[in-house]
Amino acid sequence: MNFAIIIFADGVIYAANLFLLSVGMTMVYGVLRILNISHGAIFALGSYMATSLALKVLAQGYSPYITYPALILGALIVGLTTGPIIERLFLRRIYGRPVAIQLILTFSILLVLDDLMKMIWGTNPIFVSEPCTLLGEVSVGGIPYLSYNLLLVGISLFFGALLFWIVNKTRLGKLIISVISDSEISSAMGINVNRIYLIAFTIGALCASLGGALIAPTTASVPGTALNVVSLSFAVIAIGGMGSIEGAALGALIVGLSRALCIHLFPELELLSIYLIMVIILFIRPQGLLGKVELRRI
Amino acid sequence: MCCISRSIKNVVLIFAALLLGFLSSTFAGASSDVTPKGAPAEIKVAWVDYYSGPGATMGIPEKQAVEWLVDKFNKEGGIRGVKIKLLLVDEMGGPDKQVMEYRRITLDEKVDVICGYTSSASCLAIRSVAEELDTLTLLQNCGSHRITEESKLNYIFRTANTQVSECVMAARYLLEIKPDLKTIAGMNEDFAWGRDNWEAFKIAIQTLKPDVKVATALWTRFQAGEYSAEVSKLLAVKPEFIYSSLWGGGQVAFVKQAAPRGLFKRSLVFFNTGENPLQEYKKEMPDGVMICGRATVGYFLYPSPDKNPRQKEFVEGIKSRYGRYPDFTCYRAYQTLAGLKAAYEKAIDQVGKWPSTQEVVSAFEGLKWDTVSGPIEMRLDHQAVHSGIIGMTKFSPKYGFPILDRIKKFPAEEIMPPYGMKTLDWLKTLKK
Repeated sequence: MNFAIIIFADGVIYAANLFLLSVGMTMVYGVLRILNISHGAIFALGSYMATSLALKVLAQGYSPYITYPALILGALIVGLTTGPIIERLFLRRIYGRPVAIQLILTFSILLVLDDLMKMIWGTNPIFVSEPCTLLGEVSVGGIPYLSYNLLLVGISLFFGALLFWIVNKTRLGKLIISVISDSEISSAMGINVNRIYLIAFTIGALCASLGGALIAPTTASVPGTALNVVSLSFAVIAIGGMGSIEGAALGALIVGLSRALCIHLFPELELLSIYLIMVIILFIRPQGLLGKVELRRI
Repeated sequence: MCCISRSIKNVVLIFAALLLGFLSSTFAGASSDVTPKGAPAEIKVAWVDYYSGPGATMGIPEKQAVEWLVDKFNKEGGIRGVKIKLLLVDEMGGPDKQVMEYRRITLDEKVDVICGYTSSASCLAIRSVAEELDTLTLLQNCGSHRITEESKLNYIFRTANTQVSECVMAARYLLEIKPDLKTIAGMNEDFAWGRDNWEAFKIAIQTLKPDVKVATALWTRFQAGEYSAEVSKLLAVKPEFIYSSLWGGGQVAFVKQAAPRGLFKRSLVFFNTGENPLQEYKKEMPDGVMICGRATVGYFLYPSPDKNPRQKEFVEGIKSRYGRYPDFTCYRAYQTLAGLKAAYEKAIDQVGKWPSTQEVVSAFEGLKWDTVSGPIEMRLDHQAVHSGIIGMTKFSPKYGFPILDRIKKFPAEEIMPPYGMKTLDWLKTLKK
């Protein structure tokens, strides 16, 4: 029984991480129909900024508890600046253009931001541990776990529910759904489509930077994080269904649980598990578990 | 009287002329800074390593040491008066790209020597192109023993021990600390680096102590960053010892996630590249973790800078210019550049003029050269051998980060196979 509890706990903790790092990407794809590769760089930038601010707080001698608002502030700074800048300056020019152009542009942005981070923070790992260690540990199935990891599970559940509520229950959400369905008719009915695009992309960027900031205390900010995040995010949202927030949550949960199962029972298969699941699911449902079949004009 | 004084004057003049001739010929012969005949205006050296991506955590400190050393050597006259010109090339992009880059820097940039490389995949990939283009190539960090064992090399040399040496060093050190060791576990990334490390360590420890059992072997994604489940598994199986080749940011993330959960209290953990990020930790890295910087003999506190002027100059030079003490990648860079300089100088002495690449190759074979951290020997199979150091972490209030404590130096013959013997065969013959 303990063994099953441990696998479940490990799976859910990893799923929470995956959801936090992929939800922004699926949000942007859902609204703008852009596979935003620069998502990984915004995540990494959020991680770096949040870590820097938290370290500054500690260096100034403030209470370690102040590191929590510092993490959130770091995420807000990154999300609220990179989101509008990238959308206004770059993405606006390529809406409706071939996917290849979108990929090249957003990948270029990722590379530029990755180098920018290297120029600002150097190449040595930077990290802050206090937000993680302050909360102590709890025992699950006889094994000590970091309380912060369990907090992340709660945060990702809240985060998912909040996004679901915004998209499905608010006026902004209805406008977003309208634009997703048909941007031309939405525009004809008086919806400021450009504004919706800007808001949606900024929310996506905020999701990415918040994910980076919240995960940062458990890991280290290093060069190369951006690309790593993109490959994982893509796998998760492809499994769950591109553009579906619920799909991202389901995809993250499936990957998290299967990975934990592999680590505990078949360690040799750990690396393979995520891609094996992706192949099987895409073979059965090419649009992902909760993705919708898209009609294309030809 | 006039004749006598004139003859005395002549004798004095002749004596003075002879003395002048003797002195000038003596000093000309003794001076090593006279530029040899046929010397180029400069020697162009390309240095290839990871300056972007996750590998930059090791590539950038190494680059800094290379820049510092090139400046130092050039200030001291370069290689017999020929200045070294440095060209930095990023190793990011995979083996195929490295083969293209190798051709480009050889044919277009016309470099004389190519040094560096961290990935074994890169090193294996450029082997054939280096031999085809007749370019002197000094490999430094790539660990696979296959590179110098699989085929006869002409223009390629490896200036540092193979990765197997740190596995054997760890096994020997471990059995000194825990002579009654019963269980081990592996925590490595699922690619050649992690697999080769675990395989070599497992053979080494089970040869030295056959009753040691493997509790589990975990394989993580490249720089995964999230290791909660692996930590749970290791806590559940409770191995006495964990061998890990995690590196850079991945290693830091693992330590951050494992230490608060008590893994380091339950098991003795070893990181074979642990010395590289050690300066970034504060108290996150617990005391008593087994660490080495590959099987490299240099560390910023070993040999003691107070007793070794060359070490003092290196440590203080790097620290004052870049704000960070040199790590093992820097010492390996020193090995390589000092080896290159020594090989050229030996070749110049042998041929009496600026040597051809083939003459430098001949000079390199069997060369023994000194570095900041001890002597290195280049065997005839183009594989360098040297001693290595290993120790345990201990937080230092003086430095504000953990340093290596209980350092033990293992001589080359205890951690590297003898010339002519295959690594895997040698591992099975290890004796305490």
